[in-house]
Amino acid sequence: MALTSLKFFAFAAVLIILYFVVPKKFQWWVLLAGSLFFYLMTGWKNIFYILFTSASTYGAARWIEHVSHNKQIEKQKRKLRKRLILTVTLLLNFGLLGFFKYLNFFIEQLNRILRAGGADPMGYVSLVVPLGISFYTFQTMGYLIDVYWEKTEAQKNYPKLLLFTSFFPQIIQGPISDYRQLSRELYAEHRFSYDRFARGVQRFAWGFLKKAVCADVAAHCVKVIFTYYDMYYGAAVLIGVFLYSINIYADFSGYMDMVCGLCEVLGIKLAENFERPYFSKSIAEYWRRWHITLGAWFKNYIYYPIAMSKTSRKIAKSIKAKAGKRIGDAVPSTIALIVTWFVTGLWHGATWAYIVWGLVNGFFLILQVWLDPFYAWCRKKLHVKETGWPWKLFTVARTFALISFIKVLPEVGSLSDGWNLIRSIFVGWFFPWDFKGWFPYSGDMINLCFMAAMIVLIFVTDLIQRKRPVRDYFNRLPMIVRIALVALAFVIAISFGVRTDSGDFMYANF
Amino acid sequence: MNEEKKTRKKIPDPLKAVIAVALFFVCAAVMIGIIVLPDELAKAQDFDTVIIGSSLGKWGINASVLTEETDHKAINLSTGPAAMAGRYDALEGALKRYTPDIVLLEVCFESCTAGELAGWSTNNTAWLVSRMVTPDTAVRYMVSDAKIPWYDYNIVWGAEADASYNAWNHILHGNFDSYKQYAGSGYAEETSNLMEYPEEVIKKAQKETYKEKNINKNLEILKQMLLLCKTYNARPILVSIPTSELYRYYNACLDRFWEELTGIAQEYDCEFYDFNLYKGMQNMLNDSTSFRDLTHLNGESSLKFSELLAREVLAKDREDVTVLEDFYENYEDYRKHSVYSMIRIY
Repeated sequence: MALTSLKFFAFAAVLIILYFVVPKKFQWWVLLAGSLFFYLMTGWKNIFYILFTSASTYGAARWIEHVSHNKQIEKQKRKLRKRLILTVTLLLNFGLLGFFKYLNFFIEQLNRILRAGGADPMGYVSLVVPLGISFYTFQTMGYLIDVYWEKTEAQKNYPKLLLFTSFFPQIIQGPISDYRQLSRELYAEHRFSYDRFARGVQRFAWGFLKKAVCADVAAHCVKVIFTYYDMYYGAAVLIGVFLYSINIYADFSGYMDMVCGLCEVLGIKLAENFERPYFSKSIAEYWRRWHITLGAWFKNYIYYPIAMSKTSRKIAKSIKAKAGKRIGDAVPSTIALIVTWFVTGLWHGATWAYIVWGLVNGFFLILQVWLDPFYAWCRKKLHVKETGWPWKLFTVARTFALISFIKVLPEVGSLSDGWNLIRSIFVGWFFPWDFKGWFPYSGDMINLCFMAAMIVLIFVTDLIQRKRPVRDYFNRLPMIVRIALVALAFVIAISFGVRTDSGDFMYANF
Repeated sequence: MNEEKKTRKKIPDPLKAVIAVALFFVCAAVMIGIIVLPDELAKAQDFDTVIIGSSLGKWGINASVLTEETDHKAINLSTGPAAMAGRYDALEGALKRYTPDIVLLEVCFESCTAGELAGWSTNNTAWLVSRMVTPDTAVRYMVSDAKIPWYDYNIVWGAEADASYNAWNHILHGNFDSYKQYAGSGYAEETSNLMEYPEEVIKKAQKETYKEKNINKNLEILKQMLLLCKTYNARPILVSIPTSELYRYYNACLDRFWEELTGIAQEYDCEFYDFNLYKGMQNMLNDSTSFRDLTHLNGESSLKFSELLAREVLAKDREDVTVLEDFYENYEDYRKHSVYSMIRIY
């Protein structure tokens, strides 16, 4: 059931009515029933995987908590037992995720070795990855680790944990919520509020507009340019590269706006995933503002545990003694960054291109860690005024360009294609006279004009958003105007959805 | 004033939401009425004559002329791809949408010989199809299947290639109504000079060998298209648009093309007019000013030809029309009477 389909609108409408009609203590049951129904609609077999993940996490969390509280067992044994339960559950769940996402990748690598050795290659396995498995596995495993670290209590009510695992607005592509934050929202009782309802619908409409008018039209252009990049002149490929960044942002943030809007109607506050990422002045800042919940997950459960581990501290200490404090401090974070970004790449896709994409991101972050004093020295020598707008503009443009180029690598299919695409930017510069000439094969002119207008609108809203939420300004308008604008957004988005065969979201593939 | 405020506040939130939702639907309905419906209504118009074909049909037949001359509303849905396969989709869509009385199926030599890539309905081949619309494709395609460098056609002829791609994209997504905006209008303005074609290219073109597999496939689909027309009670008419003399005089393959199509026309009881064999063509068109390349009529000549088509074929029931008498019997007959070899341009 696509989020942009009429079927989903009907489903959401029924769910909202039921949610506020039933006694408040049963509200979370409505959400659970709705979530399971939504998930069942993606294929009845998928439900078993999510049940397995939630049940195993529930059992493991309760057990870990039980062991923690059992003072009869000595501390060391308690620790070992807890670690054993955690490790087994993590292995089981990440194993399941790995089986679906990485089995064929593994077979492919094995086949390379087999072929090199002259043996017959293995056959690939036909698998349908359960919807949202990456997201719900990460979310529940985060919860389990938090219970292990005693940051949160284990949930004693299994259906409640099942709701946390399967909550339908976030099952497709996140956000990967923190248990402490989301559980408060999910299990609380909510009264209907018109203001919240109106604001939620407004945000949903904005997300829908982003998705249908900007993301899907841009996706069509990008798909054609990236498929036949060797046939396009350099300027068009360059535009394609930037357009891809806009496409993925409009798609993903559009989805986020839609689900956050829907949750706002229900009175539930979801974690935000974006904070105007293309206004970032460095790659590190960009990653703090792009897919925030995934970044936070990797930071909390991979980066910090590695950087702060005893082994890292030992290494840092020995290096400090030999090479000085700065290098000693930088080494553990470098190791942690390499591992984190390797895993981030792997999470995004089971291809070498994604792994390299992750490592390239990591490389730039490491570069920042190591060369920051040098950059500061350069800026000082060049008398760069860091607070001035020319410098800010330069750093924002530089980061956007860099991020856009890095993003291309896995998108084209293979590393060599990604590299060739980037190379093709620098050949055959030709400036067609007409606008359409820039985007051959890219679809209707009217679609392109709407897309361009939408890009400008997104840019302006993001710009305004720096100081104050745009919706504050919007809600100053008379009620009838607001309703008319929201209706217009829906009409345009639905009309575009039909024209461009809209539906799938990009991050749902991860 | 305060009382008024109090009264306003008394409206409970759920009721307010119901009112807002009702207003939302009213607004949406009005907007649909203003924005979407007129467009839909415009799309819903019927056409009596539908033209389905390749780029030759796209540039060669002016639907407005047919409408003016015959009082039958005509629409040209021809696009770039040469092979038959994709046209089947366009025909099916047109028959369902417009229920026309007459279907003009433009057929050319390439319609019979073009490979699968030049017509089958897949996303990837849709792009490859577009290369068939370049001005010199006819020659190049006959010479070899080698890739044509990008700059040869997309930059110069990008608009047409683009239109073809988009047309195909719309067909492939079942969006027939959007497809038609990319289809033919018969107003090609460019006129290139045929003398620019190197002699060796023309000579090579003569050596084209048939690919039986392609021919059989294309002809089989053509037969299915004729059956489809009959299913929808439409009168199919096979029409070949005139090509340049240079092309038709030297292209020996046209003989077989003509034989095959004549056979099909007889088998399926439909009319077939090959205007390459029209006797008046030498007076009406000439290679230097009537074509934009070897095979495609330019704007002015497409008007002339469309008038002829309307007069001689679509108004065939009129008594004063003697169309069959005006055609050569076959290509051999045409070459016997042609004076073209006398006026070689090289």
